[in-house]
Amino acid sequence: MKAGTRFSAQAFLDSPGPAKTISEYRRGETVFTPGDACQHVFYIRMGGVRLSALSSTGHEVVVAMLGPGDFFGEGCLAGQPARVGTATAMTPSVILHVARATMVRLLRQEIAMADRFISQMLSRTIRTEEDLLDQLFSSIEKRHGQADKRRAGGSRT
Amino acid sequence: MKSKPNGAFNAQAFLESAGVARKIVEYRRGEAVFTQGDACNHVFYIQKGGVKLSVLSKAGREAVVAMLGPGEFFGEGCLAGQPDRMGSATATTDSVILLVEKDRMVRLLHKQHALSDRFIAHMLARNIRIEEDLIDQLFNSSEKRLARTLLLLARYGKHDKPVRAVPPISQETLAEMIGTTRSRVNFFMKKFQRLGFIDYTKGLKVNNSLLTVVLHE
Repeated sequence: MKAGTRFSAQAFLDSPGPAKTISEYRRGETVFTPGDACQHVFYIRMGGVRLSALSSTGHEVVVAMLGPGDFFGEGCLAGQPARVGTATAMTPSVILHVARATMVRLLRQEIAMADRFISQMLSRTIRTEEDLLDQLFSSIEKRHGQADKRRAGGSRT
Repeated sequence: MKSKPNGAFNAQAFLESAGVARKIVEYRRGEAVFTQGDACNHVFYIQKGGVKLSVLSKAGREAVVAMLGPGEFFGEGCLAGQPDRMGSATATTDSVILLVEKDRMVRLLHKQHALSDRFIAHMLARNIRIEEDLIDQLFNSSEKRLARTLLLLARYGKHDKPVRAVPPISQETLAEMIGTTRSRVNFFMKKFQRLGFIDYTKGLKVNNSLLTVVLHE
């Protein structure tokens, strides 16, 4: 194998080229919204992105806050046909769009890319799991608190 | 590059057999695979059975983060550098589990595309599921969360044919999964039964109609 012909995940992610485009977003601009077709995986070169979801009653919750070097919109690799959440630039951002098919091929063929991707997925999962746990515990505590109160109220009668 | 005949790496064969730096262990129902605070030395793969991932809060309450089945990995947090287990893994039924040493798993993910493919697919699915659980937790009532959990346990939307039958699960565990008390779960289960959404004859079965609880506002 010749030196120099090896795939560099970093170089790929930092340069323009076929099957990928680089877009700039202003602060507050959306990268995608629910229902948009899943055609790209995104990579943040500069700036920051907020992933959020909207409830049917119009409440918004933030699912993740991402920064330079993070991927997002990877749900389409798992077969999601349309976006389920919203991605919004939190600051002026430079974002790489990699076509889904290209990303799939790169993950298959380029271990350096798969490595990068796996390590990011792992840290994302851990973070989201922690958020989920916070919610579960606060909900459990609240419910138990209410049950205790009901019991205390009931014992008087 | 040398390549032996049949030397191609087979991810499925690897995950289904024991060998260098990996072993197969059987767990009885209720047995712990690891507990919170244990050192992170292995990544696990479920060959047969099922595993519950749970975490204990400082106040001593348990929350269930995931119910996993055959073909799924767990304990992968150690690949991201977690020194200790953040939660516990318990066999929910008699299970056969492959333990792969952490360093070996790291090496294999670097070298073997077939395995990193499998692993990426697993991580994507886990990630999506956890995000959905989080959103569910933030937005929905405990009644809706219970309905969604039951549907997911019966594998609605996951395969062409949902199994309908839910694997044996206590109301306590359901409460720990959705973040409520057992008495609330009991209350909603009775309601679902009365409305014909679930069926308790011969184990717990989930009917399509339970979807209305999730979809109805």
